[in-house]
Amino acid sequence: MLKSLVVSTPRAVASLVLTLALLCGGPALAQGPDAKVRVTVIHATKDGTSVAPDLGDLAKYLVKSFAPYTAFKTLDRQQVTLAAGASSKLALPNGSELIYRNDGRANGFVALHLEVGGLKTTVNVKDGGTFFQAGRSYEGGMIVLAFAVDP
Amino acid sequence: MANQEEARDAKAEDQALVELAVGGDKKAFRKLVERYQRKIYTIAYGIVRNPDTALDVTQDTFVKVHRNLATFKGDSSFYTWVYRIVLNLCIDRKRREARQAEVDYDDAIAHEDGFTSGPTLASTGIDSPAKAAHRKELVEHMDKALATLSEEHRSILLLREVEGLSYEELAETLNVPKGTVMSRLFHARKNFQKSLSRYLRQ
Amino acid sequence: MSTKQDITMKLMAYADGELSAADRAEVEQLLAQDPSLGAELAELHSISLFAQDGFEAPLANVKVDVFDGVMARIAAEDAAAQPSAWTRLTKWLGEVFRLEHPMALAGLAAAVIAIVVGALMSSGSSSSVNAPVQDMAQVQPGPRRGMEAEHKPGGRNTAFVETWEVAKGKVVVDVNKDDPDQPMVLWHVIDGEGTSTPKGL
Repeated sequence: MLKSLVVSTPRAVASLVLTLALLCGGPALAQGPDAKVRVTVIHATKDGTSVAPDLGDLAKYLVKSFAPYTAFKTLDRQQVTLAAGASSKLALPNGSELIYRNDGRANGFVALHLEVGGLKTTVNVKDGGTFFQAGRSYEGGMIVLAFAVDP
Repeated sequence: MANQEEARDAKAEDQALVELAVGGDKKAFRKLVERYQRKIYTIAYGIVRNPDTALDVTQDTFVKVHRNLATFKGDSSFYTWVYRIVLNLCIDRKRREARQAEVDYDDAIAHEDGFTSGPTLASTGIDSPAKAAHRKELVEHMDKALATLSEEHRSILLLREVEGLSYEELAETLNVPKGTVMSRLFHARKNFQKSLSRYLRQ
Repeated sequence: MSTKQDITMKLMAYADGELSAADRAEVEQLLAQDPSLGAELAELHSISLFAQDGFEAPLANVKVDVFDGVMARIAAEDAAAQPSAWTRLTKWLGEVFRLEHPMALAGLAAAVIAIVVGALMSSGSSSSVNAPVQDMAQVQPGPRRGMEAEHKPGGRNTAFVETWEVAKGKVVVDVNKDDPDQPMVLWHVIDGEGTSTPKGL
């Protein structure tokens, strides 16, 4: 019976191989590496031309990526270190909530799962990389979320 | 008098929260964090001049507070203890980064000049910086002027002007004699005045 | 006789409210005698105002809320300091069975469990665990002028979208093909909200 199970169930064989591989590297069963995630909540408007000084390096990206918006202000920030599988929440000023989760790391990229305003997405972010999520309106402008994963 | 009473009440509240937090009360620790996080961030940002680093240092500070809460004896006030932690973390962080060119004066050098021997801020006609006509440019100038100070001068100016620490509290937080506090504060104000006057006259 | 610096330092301590009653009276007498000291006092007041504003102004709209991040970091540090489940298991097996090579027994036990679980799984449904929920719409962005959806990083681009779902609205991924140094933008726009996209949707 055992022989027929092994022959007819490739998944079982794969599980055995995986287990043997894990035996060779016991500590690999420990949790995956943490991800240090920085979230900046930005209000983009067309009222004047100004970028809040505390936006630092993000400023040049914001101005280019979100023209015709010309003014950018920081509304909120959050910085957390997420273990693999851990998540964090952030209440947004437009009444919605951002939930984001570290779905693990592979090949120098962190899989970051986001849920915000009806959007559910998984974005693979390189260590040290940044991306934006944007488009929802707020007080005559738009909310831009900047995500950065620190190496 | 009312201020002294408020200060005593605040100190007693802090002590009570510390005792609860040491006992594992997460809500008490949260209250301590929420009470001081903005002050700590302001200090961190004032010294490291970068919002992400400041946020990182702020978190580091409270992690360290959490880990060492049991060692806080209450002989100093809680906030001077926390301020010392954040200052040390900022100094460590700055040491790892390249130093920018800074204007500085050796605190040991005697300054015969007072505050009115050169260009003054009072003569700019700006009575209230918060209501100045060209507010955005002024904020940039003040920011640049603060950036030219050494960390020691920026720290003492910040703790005095923003956090309102007394000379005695400054001495305790910075771990220097009171005489050094006065001398360092004098030089910090003098340097800031010179830097800002230069920018405002450009 | 006081030097000019002594007087300046005393004036500074006076402005800071740090003098004893006797010293305060002395300074007030000096102020009455020498009007130029009034200008010094006014300048000290200006310096304080500008310094305080200089520190606080950049942070006027910054919200600081670090508690969750602090607790997450403490939990992560505590977890890292714990021995792994594997180490604890092998140590326990070694103690219980007085084995010299507890890892071998643990590995064999894990292999048996994996074979059984694998056999059970392969006899069940083969539907993907990642299948989208029935009531969520999968929106496939079509190529737009100047904007394209891709599923791998272009050039130096440091992020790419693996999956997305929306309840309503449109999703477009801008990988900034003309400038791979620009971060990717994941747009989620709902008609009627009035937000503008730079190159049009």
